[in-house]
Amino acid sequence: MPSVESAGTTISWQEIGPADGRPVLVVHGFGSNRAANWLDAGWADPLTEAGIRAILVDLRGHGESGRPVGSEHYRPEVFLADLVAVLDALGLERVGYLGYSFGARLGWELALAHPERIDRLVLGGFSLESPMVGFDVAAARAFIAEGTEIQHGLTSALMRMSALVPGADLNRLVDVVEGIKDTELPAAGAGPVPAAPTCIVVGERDQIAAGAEALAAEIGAEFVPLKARSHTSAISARGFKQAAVDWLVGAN
Amino acid sequence: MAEITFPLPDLGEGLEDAIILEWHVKVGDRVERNDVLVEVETTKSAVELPSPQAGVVAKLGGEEGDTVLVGDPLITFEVADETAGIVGTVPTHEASPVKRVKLSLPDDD
Repeated sequence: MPSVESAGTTISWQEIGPADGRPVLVVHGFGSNRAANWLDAGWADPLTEAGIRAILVDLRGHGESGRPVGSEHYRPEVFLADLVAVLDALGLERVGYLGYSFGARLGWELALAHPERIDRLVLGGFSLESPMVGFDVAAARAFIAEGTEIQHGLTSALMRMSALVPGADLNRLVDVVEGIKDTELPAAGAGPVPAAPTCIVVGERDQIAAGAEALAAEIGAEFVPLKARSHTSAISARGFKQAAVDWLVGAN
Repeated sequence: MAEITFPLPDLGEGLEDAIILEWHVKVGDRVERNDVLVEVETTKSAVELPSPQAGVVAKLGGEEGDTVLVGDPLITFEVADETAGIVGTVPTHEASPVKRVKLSLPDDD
């Protein structure tokens, strides 16, 4: 896998699709990785068939990227720097962006911080505020060390979800949560809005992304609801794939 | 012609029902054995179910978003008379369900 060093950590990615295709940075959600979020959910064909050169990144702490110890390595600005480092390593000045959940939150911030680098945004399972706010770090550590039951619902859900991903390192993922929850990504809609044309795609049963439709209306973004889908089952929806590739190649 | 109905199979995880996420077929479609019929979501995963049967889709067991109990009718095919005597079972051996999404957040339920 190609990779680049960013802030002392190896960031890996995988390219699929035509080398001269429309470049799109594709970023998975918390606890997942490029394979689980995209390839296993059937994204390779629709992306490739649309002529997209997809750069599937593994975020630090995830997949085949490095997993430094300590929450200081997982600040939001470090994640953003990693994504810029990948674009720089590939010599890509300007790309489309497809992100899911935490990857969508990063896309929003990346487009604000580097508007010259991102020309179109697709934000799936997009939450207005970080869902990590109430995460119980101590309970998560106790769960990993001793299997102690976690009382807090979201904390328990995220840990159990993450434990299902092959090769996941739960302690590093708790580092990630610590890193991003203390320096909260600002709530979307409360401040500046990315200049890049934005499409927000959310499952109708997705409680994490509640409020995304109102935000889309407020900022003039395209909004695509996915019938019957939850935060996790939305990623394999054909309607998500179609909406994403149409938006990224500018067909709508 | 005759009809043959297949129930929602036991997805092998001790689960009692599933939510219909997306039909890949509609009434009147001709499907081949092992074509993907539908994607369903259980509390543990999203799964694509392959067709146990070649035939023409006569009836769907629910709308997208509906919950179907294991054992309740999932899909009905119109088939040639000579195959209608076979007792319907959704395949579990030759064509296993394909897991597309392995993760689930309980607060979505």
